[in-house]
Amino acid sequence: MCGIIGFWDKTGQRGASTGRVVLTMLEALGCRGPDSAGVALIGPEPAADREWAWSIRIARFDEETLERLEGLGAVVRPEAGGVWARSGGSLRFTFRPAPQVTVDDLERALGARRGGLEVLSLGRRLDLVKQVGSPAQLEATYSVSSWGGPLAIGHTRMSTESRIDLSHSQPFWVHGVPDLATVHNGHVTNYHQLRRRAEQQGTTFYTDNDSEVIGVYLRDRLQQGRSLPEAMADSLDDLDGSFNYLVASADGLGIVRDRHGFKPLVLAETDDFVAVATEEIALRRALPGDYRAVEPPPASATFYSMSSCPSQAAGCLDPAARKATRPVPVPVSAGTDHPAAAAAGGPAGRT
Amino acid sequence: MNEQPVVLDCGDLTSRAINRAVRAAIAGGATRIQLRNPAGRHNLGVALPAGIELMIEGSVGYYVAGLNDGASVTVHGGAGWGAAESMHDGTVVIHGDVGNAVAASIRAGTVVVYGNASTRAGIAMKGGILLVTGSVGPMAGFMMQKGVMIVCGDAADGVADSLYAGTVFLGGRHGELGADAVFEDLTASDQELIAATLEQWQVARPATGFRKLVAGRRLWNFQQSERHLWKSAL
Repeated sequence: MCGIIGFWDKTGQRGASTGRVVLTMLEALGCRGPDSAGVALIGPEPAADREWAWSIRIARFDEETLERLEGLGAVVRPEAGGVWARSGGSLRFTFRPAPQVTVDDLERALGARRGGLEVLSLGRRLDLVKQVGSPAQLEATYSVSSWGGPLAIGHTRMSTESRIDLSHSQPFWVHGVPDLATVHNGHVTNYHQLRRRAEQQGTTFYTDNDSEVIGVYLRDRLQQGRSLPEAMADSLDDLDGSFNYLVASADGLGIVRDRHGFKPLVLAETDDFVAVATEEIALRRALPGDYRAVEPPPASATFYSMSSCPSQAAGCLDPAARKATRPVPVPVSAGTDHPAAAAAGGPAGRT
Repeated sequence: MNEQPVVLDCGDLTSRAINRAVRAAIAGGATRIQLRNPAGRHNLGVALPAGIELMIEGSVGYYVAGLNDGASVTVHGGAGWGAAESMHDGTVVIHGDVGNAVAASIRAGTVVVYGNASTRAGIAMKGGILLVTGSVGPMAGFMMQKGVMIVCGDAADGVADSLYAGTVFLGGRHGELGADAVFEDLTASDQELIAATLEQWQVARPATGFRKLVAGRRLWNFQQSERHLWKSAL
């Protein structure tokens, strides 16, 4: 059945409790997806002198793996202020890419391939952890509850059509795009057509999991000049099947609901946060308070832009600025004019 | 005169523990029970018998009042999927929005949603009445076998798809109609039923009145000569 969660701390003051909120939400959805659990977190803005630093997490590596990056840049060791953390079979390290080096260059140099070495996440602010097992086990391995940052998405998996292992777990980092990750609940029924087309254009797929194609699709649209919110809106036309998916990026939190609303999704927005989850129980357990939770309408693509909060580095400390943080309404294509969206007055799926 | 309700705080209890506490209260002679702080839990108040009134203060998860066996259940908050699903008889009132498949497969009784309903509202109803004061999402009334759905607001695409003898009364706009859905004139008895239901639940009649959707009956039996109809329906 899978469960997805998303959380954006608008205040920027929550610090480490973003991790605690996200873990609590995942635990509440553990029954939905007993197979795997994972979280993607967008951390705070890096300091000005660390703008160049990529944080990279890899799996199925060996002692020689990082030597393959020679010439592409430098691994930054802890003595020089970098991160070096091994747990759960993954390694997270800091890398300073040489000028002109792209993410694709790096993945190629590492020898990333299906069934072999895999880059689990890459970005200036993104970290992504996932594994087979429960949210509690994820916490035991990675201490998610101590993580801080403005934005996170998470996933509990019930495998329906592909194997249960680390690679097939979610969230999925969008290969080739720093600081972009997705979580999906549902079934993309034109997966094979989309995959065939993408493979013909040279894309590597790391799994047989249809959810992976969502990030591949978004990357393709971004490369064609669409913005992320526009790419999300495009997906309402180009993906078939049932899909609620969330997108975490350094720009903000995206929420897409397929045109039939086949899968459940509940959203709550207050002055302090935006929280979204497959089941309301996840919201209520993690976030006390008297707020209303509503369903985003079917056929809606909503993007909560962190930069619409003016003083992003400090978080939105000004109450007026917090109230002004509205989702960017994304035009939905013709034929999806959903009357209930207007009636419910929920997050805009239409301009 | 109504007795004071027995108040149960859901606290950190599981749904099972809460439901058992409700049963214990009933066994102890209570007929009115109030649950506080449900915090989105699933399966609350399932299969309660006639003569029992359950009030839930807050939002609930899936299957609230599922398999209702005659009780009167009220939720002051929203509900998730399958509210009142497979109800045998009784009354379920939700003061909030509901998720997919509200009143799925109910046999009799009344479900009232003072809010909006999501996808597949009233799916496979076998009797009873579903009243939604707001709007309904896609595929409302899908495969209704019997029973009546009254929607004061709008219906999204696929309303009244593949009906048997169910009836949908629609007050607002609709998207694409469901397979084999046709409009029909309301009878005097339809008007009386609607008026009585709206009055009972204190719901204002929409200004434009209601339209009636029933099955065109072209999908009830398969005829080789009409197989093209099935191609578009499926």
